[in-house]
Amino acid sequence: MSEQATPASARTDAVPIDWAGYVFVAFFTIPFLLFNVLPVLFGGYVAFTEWSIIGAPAWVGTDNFTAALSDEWVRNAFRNVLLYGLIIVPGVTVFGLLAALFVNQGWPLSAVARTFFFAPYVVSATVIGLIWVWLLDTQYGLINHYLAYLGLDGIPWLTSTDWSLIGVSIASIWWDMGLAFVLFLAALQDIPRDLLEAAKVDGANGLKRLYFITLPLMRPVISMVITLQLISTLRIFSQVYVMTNGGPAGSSDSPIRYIYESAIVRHSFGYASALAILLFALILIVTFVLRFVVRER
Amino acid sequence: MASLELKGLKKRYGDLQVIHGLDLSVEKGEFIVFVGPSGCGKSTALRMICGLETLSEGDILIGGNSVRNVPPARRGVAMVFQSYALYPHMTVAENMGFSLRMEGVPKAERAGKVAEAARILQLEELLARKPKELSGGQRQRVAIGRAIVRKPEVFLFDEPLSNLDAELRVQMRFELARLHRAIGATMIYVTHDQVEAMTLADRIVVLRSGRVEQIGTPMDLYHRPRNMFVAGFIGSPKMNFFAARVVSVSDAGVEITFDGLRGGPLVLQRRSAALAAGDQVTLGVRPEHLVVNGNGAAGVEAEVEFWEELGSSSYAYAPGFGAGAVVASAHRVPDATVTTGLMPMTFAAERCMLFDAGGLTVF
Repeated sequence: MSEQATPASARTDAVPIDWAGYVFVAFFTIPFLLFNVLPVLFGGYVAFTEWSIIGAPAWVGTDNFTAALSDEWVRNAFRNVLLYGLIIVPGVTVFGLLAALFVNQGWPLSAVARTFFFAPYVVSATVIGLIWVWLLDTQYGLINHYLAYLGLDGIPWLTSTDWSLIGVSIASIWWDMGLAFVLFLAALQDIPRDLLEAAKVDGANGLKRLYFITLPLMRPVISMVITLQLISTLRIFSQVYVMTNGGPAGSSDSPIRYIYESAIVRHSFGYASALAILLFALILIVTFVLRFVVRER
Repeated sequence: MASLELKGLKKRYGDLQVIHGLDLSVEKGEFIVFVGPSGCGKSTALRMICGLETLSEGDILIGGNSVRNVPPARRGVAMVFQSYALYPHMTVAENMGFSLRMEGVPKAERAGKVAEAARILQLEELLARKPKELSGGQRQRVAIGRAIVRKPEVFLFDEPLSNLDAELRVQMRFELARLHRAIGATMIYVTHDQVEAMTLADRIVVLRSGRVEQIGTPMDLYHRPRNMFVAGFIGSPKMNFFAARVVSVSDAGVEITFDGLRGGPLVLQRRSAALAAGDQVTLGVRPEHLVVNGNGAAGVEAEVEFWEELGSSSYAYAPGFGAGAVVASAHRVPDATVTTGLMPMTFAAERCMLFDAGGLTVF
């Protein structure tokens, strides 16, 4: 080779490294690595150990997973969370859509309605939980009070094994509807007016315009809301913890609440981490299945 | 019987009145163009005919029947929107057949009607495509096809060519004219482009601020405008106006003068009993009647800043003449090096128009 290698120090076209950029990025990256990535990796390791936070984790292999799969309370919590998904996801989607359609009409008091529908979302789940504990109280609750006007017996919303999951679901729908509502409203307002007018001229009445034009055009947003809501519901905790603490008899329990109990109350961090990994796997599977079902065609 | 009648059509939004009594009778098969500047109410009038806007006053008759309280789909109208308004999630065939589907027409019959419309508009190859897979011109044809399928009494077009490029616009203009001749339907067409209006219309309705300025054939409006607004709006480049004063009125004609007039006074050899010496008037001269280095006796001398060469004709622009711009024509552009500067322009006096102080045409 006739060319001579040029020493790096003599190169004039080398771009100097701008360390300032790395400093700016570090403000986010370092806390993210320390408080997100590292705990996740550590949690993955702990799932294969027995550890009560004091002392060193003791390697137990897959024992935690084997125990979890044969734990009746785990099966109960995972079955419950699927039931929560079946109630809350359609509930949030349908009521969020109805609320958005109502506000989008631009009728008088639309602005008030918009605030009313969105407000719960900005309140913490704990507050929502406490409000609904009062509303759903068997003896003094507002809901049973109104049911009595209709001649119906009071429902033990949060104290019966048959009703507690439904009681928590009602509160969750009310709380989570706010986000779905604003996403749907934005999508509705994004539909060109010409399209709806063209459909009107083509002879489509209000319901047909909704079915043939509006809903198909909102398909991507509906798909996104369902996916986000499903993930959120599979991670349900605050409402369950505040309203029923998973009871009575585990009838409203959820995986995250059970993980919390295993780790914080019983100090079984290894077992709790294994449950967290199982929940993560469930969320992944359900999300992929859902994306396949509601994929863009 | 008229195909479409508008009787005292008025539209108010609160205190704001946007249509001030529109009367029009359209014969079957006529091509009517509503033209006017932005905000003149032409699209609102079209939407009222379609049923997308309510009427504040007046009535609309289609085929002799009042449609004031009839929903859009049952009025016997079809509308082509400026944005085309094609349903993006449906194929071309589904778009075209949507109205028939809403009517409950069986699938096989629907397919036949869509195929027939597709044949007329040469869309057969595109029936399975979605709108995003089509060019602007193809989308436009689909939008027209959607209207044709319904076989309406009246076609309504709301600035349908404004989203197309210049070449496609000319092509679509031709196709629209051909389609009109082929199906012989009544068409109401809204545009702000007076060239579209002139080339497509049987009659033009010129609107300004919600009022009809003039209704007539394109040549009527061009040669016999009712007022300065119509004279200025119809014709491209627009008519030149010169604020002038009547010097004398006699059997020989009207003598006028104005600042900057050369070889004057200008004698317009037409009679008018309405004018008297000293009256303020406006002289209107179309660019083709104001010729650079022409043979006329009277004219102006204006500072030409640039030329617009169109091949068959050329226009000289003199933006700084008096109160406004002057546009004059020439059969041939002089050598580029001597085309700017002070240049003489002469009037074809027999083609000049005169408007009174109120802006109405004297002759």
